[in-house]
Amino acid sequence: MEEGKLFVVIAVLSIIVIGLGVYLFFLDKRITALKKRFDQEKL
Amino acid sequence: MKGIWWKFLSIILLVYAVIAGFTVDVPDTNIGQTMRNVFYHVGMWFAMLAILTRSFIASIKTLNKSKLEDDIDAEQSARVGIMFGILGIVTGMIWASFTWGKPWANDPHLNGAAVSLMIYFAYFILRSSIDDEHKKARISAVYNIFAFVLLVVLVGVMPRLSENTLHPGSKDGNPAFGDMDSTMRYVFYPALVGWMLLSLWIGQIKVTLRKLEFFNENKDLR
Amino acid sequence: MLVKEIKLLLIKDLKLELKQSYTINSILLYAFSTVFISYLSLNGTIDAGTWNALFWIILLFTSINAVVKSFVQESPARHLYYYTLTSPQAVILSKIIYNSLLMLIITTLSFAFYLFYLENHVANWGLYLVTLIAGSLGFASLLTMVSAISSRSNNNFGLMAILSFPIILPMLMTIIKVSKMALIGGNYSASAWNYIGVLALLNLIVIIMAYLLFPYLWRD
Repeated sequence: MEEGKLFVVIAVLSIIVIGLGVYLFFLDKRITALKKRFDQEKL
Repeated sequence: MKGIWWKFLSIILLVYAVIAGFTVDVPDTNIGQTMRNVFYHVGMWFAMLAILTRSFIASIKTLNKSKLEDDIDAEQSARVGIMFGILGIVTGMIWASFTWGKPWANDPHLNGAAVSLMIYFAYFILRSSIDDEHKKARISAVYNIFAFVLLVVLVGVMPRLSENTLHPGSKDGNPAFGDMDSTMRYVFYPALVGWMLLSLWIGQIKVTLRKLEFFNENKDLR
Repeated sequence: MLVKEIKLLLIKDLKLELKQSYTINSILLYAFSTVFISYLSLNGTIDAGTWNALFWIILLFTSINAVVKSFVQESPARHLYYYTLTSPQAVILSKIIYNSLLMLIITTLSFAFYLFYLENHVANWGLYLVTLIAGSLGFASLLTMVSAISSRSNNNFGLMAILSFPIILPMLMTIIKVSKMALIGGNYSASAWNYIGVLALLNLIVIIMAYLLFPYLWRD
């Protein structure tokens, strides 16, 4: 395990998952803002 | 259900890539277990190229039909491409600092990666320097098409021309995945398709979102 | 028809250049000053690799300065006038030919300055001269297209460098690779001529793209 450096693979995969997660978070914020505007226009 | 099957396919392939990527036997090379990175790190580059291809096609459509929708498509796809490119560089740097002892080396793959990010940053600077929406759409589409073709030449041809690449498995001229055995390929190719579909999926969401925002702000431009 | 238009536009550009002749003079002064500054600051011998890289970097910056004016030295109204007379393809092709001629002159003279002030490291003259020609023609066509793009934005001079550096890199890397082989101590092999082929192919791709894409830049 130690000489194989499997932790590098785990680190890389977690970077990808965290990166996509942060990206999704900001996307979600933008969609929520857009939805709020639509709701206000309806009123 | 129409048009959603490929999103399920993407999830299935990525779950398969993560599970099989950690359990499949890798051949005994000098990079050891870190060879499993090929399923994730190389996937980022293919995801980037997939979504940049979408951006390229959208730019051609912009020139043909001169509709702002296609321009939004091209811009947002390029943004997603930059996101995957940064992930690719960061994951590559982590791997490189454990394998080569330093995060950056003079290697055609790395240089190609840096240049492709530079091209798309330049694309956004060009966009921000033009005010008129239709003019911006047309000029930036021209640059996008021009740069993408040269980028394909750079990442597709240049690594094959140079003999002294550090990247594993490049000896037969095949960038990045020369010394995989056949069992690894059963994981590798589905993983690539999974990442590419994921990038197209994220791109689709971003394009739709931006179109809604844009045409909500400028109802007259449609 | 196209050939005739290109010829007329080319003659127009050449006459304009001969009449003003300030473009070529200012560019030559630029090249000379850069070479002279490197001569003064290097202050002695440099190794062949650095010598080669420095020359191409000087040439890259000189050519950006030479080509950036292509589409802004005449007024937009004049461009509109040409638009009514000729096809956009003729305009871009004539500009590419004009800039290629200009680049050949500039390359020759800056290389002469460079050889004079920083000593000679070239062993294989045939290969080096072919690289110089292929390189300057490639720079000319790619930079002409980029200057056409950046002339349509609000910040022409600043954008020119930003837009051209990343996409000129494939060309520049090939050039540096092949010209290194022609130096003293560079390991020359027959594969060098393949790289010249790659350069010619890149140049051809750029010209075809310019031919196809320029009409969209032109229209307003």
